Amino acid sequence: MTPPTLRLENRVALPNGETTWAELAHTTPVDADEPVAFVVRSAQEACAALVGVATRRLDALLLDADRADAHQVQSLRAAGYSIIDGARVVAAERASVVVPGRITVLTSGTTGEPKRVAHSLESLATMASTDCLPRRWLCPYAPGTYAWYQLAVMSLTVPAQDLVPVDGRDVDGWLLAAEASGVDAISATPTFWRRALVMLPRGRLARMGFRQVTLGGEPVSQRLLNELGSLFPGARITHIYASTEAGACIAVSDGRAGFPADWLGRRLGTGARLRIDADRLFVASPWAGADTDEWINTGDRVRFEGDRVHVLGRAPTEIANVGGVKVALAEVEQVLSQHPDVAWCRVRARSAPLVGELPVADVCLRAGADIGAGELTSWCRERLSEAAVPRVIAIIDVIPTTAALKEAI
Amino acid sequence: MMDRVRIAELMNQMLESQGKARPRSDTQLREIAFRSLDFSELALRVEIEIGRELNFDAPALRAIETVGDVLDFLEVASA
Repeated sequence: MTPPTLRLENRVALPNGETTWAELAHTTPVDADEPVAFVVRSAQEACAALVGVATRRLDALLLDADRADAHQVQSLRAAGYSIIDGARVVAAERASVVVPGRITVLTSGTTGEPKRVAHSLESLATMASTDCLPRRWLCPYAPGTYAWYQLAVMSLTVPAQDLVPVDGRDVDGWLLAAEASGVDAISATPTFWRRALVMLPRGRLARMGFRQVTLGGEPVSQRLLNELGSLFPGARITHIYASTEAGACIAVSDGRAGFPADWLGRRLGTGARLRIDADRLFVASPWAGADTDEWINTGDRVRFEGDRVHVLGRAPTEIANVGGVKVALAEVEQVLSQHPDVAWCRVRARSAPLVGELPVADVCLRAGADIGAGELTSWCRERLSEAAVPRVIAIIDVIPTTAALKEAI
Repeated sequence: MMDRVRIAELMNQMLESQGKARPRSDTQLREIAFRSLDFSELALRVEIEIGRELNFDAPALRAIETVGDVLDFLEVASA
């Protein structure tokens, strides 16, 4: 791949004012001739570090301060990274080979220790050669995540794509920033939207008038697509499948959950190819990280429904053993989530006397819903076997999320 | 220890959510179809309230026949 042209004239709306990538490039902390990890504490620091890395072809990694715990810092130093935290520089524990232009991205670590995946501006610039309408993007992702790079690098490499970085965990904060900045496009996770739909007035959300809504990072349900479609009737709604290791793979904009089954075995518009082996999705993408196999086992399960393939996410590790009866918690969750007043739910197994385990649930209701746990229990009793009915249902106010705006496990 | 009155309240809430009437202390569990799943749920609710797991005595568990037996058992187990 050839390095993309940098669009330093594109604008970046930061909490303390609007600027351009060109202006931010002058504020990049250091030049470096060794692998460096920038600890970033604000959107401004993150954007300044990125444009510095891009213009100087540094060998670098961006680490959000929330993830920069002692263990992570030590791990990076041992791997040959010097840590740059504002004016403070902590040297690497050993020298390592510098790869100019390498941008290392950490996985979320939700399934274990975060992995370092080597990318570059080229592999992160998945939209660089695409004709895009002028857009002003709200970016609610934490700096340094793959999703954050997707948006930030798009703004840095595609003409007329401005960036408005915000903290997506601050529900009021992101909406205020969006309203003040005049955004017309947003990329976020389904959990981000379920949370917003619970906590924010629909009328205020609808007034955002998004023209482009992109969803990714988690399985996307038809119900959520329908809700967003009715909330933003003028928007193109796209759900994408991408991962830090596999890169961008699937983009679907036809308003339906899943992707067309006849995409299997073909080269898609993203350049990716897909295949299914033993109910698992395998992808080969030109946007994958370096040092990965051509075909990557995503570990995500799929299900065929008519002419569509639905990506269900990682294989469930939780089967509740309720007095010898095996209960698939994902199925319980599906039934509970179909209740019209349920905005989000999570079902898990909890150890219980006598029968070993019982299913229990945390539930977040839709705004204005006025039901109790008893109503939800009845709903489940009508649709599930006795062993599968969640025995304790806790109604919670806020959907728990991770820094990557996914469900907190 | 959770007192017997509170355990009875939890049990009544459970039964009411299943559309069952409040039982007497000497009501046989089979009369109200109070099975092992229900017993486990009640024990779990007690565990959640007291913030720790219950100590179970298996022989005493097998001897349970009435609503009063359940209350007695869980009161002792929560000590």
